[in-house]
Parts: sequence; structure tokens; C-alpha cells
Amino acid sequence: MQNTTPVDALIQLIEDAQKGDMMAFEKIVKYHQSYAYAIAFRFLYDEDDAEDVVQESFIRIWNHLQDFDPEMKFTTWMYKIVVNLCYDKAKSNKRRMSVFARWNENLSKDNCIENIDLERDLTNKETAAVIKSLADGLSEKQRMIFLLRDLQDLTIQEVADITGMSESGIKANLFYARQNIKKKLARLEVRI
Amino acid sequence: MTCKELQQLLYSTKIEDFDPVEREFLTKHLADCETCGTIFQEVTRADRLLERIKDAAPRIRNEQALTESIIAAIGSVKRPISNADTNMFLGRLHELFSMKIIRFACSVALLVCGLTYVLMEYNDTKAIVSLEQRLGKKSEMNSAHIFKQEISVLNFFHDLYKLSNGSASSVELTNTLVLIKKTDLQTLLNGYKSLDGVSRARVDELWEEYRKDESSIVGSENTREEITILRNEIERLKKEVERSNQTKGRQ
Repeated sequence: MQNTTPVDALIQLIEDAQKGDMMAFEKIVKYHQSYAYAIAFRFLYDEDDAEDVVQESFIRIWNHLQDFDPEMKFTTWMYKIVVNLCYDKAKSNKRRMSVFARWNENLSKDNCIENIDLERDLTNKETAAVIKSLADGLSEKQRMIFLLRDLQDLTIQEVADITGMSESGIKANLFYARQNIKKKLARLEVRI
Repeated sequence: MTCKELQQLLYSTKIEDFDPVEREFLTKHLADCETCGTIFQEVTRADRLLERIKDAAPRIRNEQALTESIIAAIGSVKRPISNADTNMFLGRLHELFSMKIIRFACSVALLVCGLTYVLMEYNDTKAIVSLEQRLGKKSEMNSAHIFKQEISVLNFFHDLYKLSNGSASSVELTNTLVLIKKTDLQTLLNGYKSLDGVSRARVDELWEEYRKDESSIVGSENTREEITILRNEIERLKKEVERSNQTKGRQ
């Protein structure tokens, strides 16, 4: 799906990296960092935070490369790490409420969803504003499931592997999230 | 399916994900129900908006810089220990320990070793405590002198001292090691001088008995030497006492 590296080549790169080959690992980072970034940014709405999470994720991947189960899809394993770090980052951001509140204020002033033209290419800030206003009222878990399933286009099984939840639990959360978001989208007076 | 159920389905499921039965029901129902038709339009529009949002993938500000910062950060942390040999060795070890019988045998061996060690430690501790208790007496004996002697020598001194003083002042450390205060030994021998005739005769008798029995002397050369010194000392004192008695008799 999102993995542009042929499977065999990726397996070879992982094996080389497991032996300590930094060049091989650099290639893995180059191929996958944008996918990791997409999840982190869509969840955290902040470029610096997203980059921090991506960096920390790849450091963890490098440190635990020996534990990688070849039976598992590499992207699933990577997303699992990214998702956990996103939750950690969100938790630490909550503790720094003042900073977060200031950023939220800027976001809402500059990027009101009603003023965004979805027809043209969106900037990162606009994307964050749109997702944030749509996902408002959802729990972190529901938001993450919606991101993984509907925005990252992963299968229910993959979402289950990443989040550690049951398929039925994911479907229930997804149902609630979609209903909520679609109702908001349907009410929007935006150009398409 | 009711209108409410269909509306719920429309909101929660992508239309392309509808199964054939649901799709057929939708087509027929929309022709008759204006409310559901309006919601269908809204949901279709919402789905298109969602597709636009999905396509607007966030972009990393500077991909090369991010890659470089990741690699630089990794360079400063510990690299994984990994080579083919280690992996093979660990793999075989893992394979070996995945066998129940091996795990059980190792557990039993560990348990036995542990128990043996604990028992040995317990016995040692008991012996040490016992020795310490005995040495507790030793510590009360300042300027103590250790004589290595055969047990019958101790018995001799013991009897001798009991005759003169009525109490013991030696401590048996082992069968051949006796601890006795130098001053006590002197007192013992002085006590001999002041014994009455009957008591002294008894000591002499014991002494002669002991002195004749050379076979009772065991131990190293040092032990024999020490015993000889003791014997000579006792002999000297005895003669001194006899001379002193003779002088008194003449006077």
C-alpha cells in the first residue's frame, strides 16, 4: 500500500541494518519517514512535535531492530511505535497546557475550516485545522482509529495490530468517529 | 431496514463498502424517501471532502534534514549488538531452552545447587558460632598463651589446678590445642608448692603416671617440644619445693 519499497529489498535492508549497517538503515528511514510523519502530524497537529515523534520512533526502531518479527509487516511495527509515541507526546503536551493553548488559539484564528478551500493543495497548518475541527469531541483513541483507517487507509486488521484492540472494538469506535465527522462535514459550507 | 438504520449505515460506512443487499436496498429506498435522499447527498459530499483531506498528506518541511538528524541521533546511541554468529548462538540457545525437559533439568539443578550451598553455609555458620562461644572465654584471658598439647596434659593440669584452686582456667580449643593463661600456669605451679603432703603425693602420682606414658604424646615436633618444656618446668619446681622442705626440716 504505502510501502514503496519492494518487500524483498526491504527485508534485505532490515537484515543489513540488523547487522549494524547504518547506510541500510538510512534508506529505511528515507522510505518510511513520511508515513510516520503523516500519522504523527495528523494526530498532534504540530510540525515540531511530529518531527520529534518521527525521530524518536526511528531511534527506537534502530535500538529494537533485533526484536523485529519478520512475520510482521515492517510498516505495522513502525506505526505501532509511532502511535505509542504520539500518545506519549499528547500526554506531555497536556501537561504543558499553556503552550498548547497558545498554539490552539493561533490555529483557530488563522485557519478556520469554513475559510479553507479544500479544492487546492492544503498547507500543513490547514490540514491540521481541518482535522482538528472535524475530530473535535472525539477521544484520542477514536481519533487515532479514524486516522489510521480512513486517512492512512489501513485495514481493520492492521489497525487492530497497531492499537492492540479487537476488531469489534475498532469497528465500534470507527462507527462513532465517522458518524461524528461526516455529520460535521455535511454541515460545512465549503467549496468542493 | 428502517430509515434510521439506513441513515446510521450511511454515516458510518463508505458507500463503496456497502454489500450488494445494502446497495440494492439503498437504490430502491432513495427513490421513495426524500429525507434519506437528502442525507445520502450530504454523506456523498462528506465522503468526497474526506477524500480531499486524505489526499492532503502532511509534508515534512525538510526531508533530508530530518533523515540526517535521525541518523545523527542514532550515531550517538548504542548500536545493536548484531552479527551472524551471535544471532546463530543465541538462536541455538533459545532453541535449546525452548525444550521443556531442558528447562526442568536446569531448574532442578539450580535448586539442588542452591540448597547444598545453603546447607553448607548453615553448617559453617553453626561451627563458627560454636567456636566464637568458646573463644568468648578466651577473650577474657588476657596475655593468654597457647600450648599445643595432647589431651592428657590438659587433664593433668586440670587435676592439678583443681587440687590447688578448685576451678579450671584452661580452655580446650581442639583436641590438641589448649589455651591457658601464663599467670594461671604460674599460679598452678606455685599452688603445687603449698599443697599438703597427701595432695602433693596425689599430684606426683598423676605426674609420674603421665610422664611414664610416652605413647600418650601425639602431635607434631612442636607439640612434643612444648610438652617437654612443661615437664621440665614442673620437674624443676618439684625439686625446688623438695629442697625448700628439706631446709625447713633441718631448721
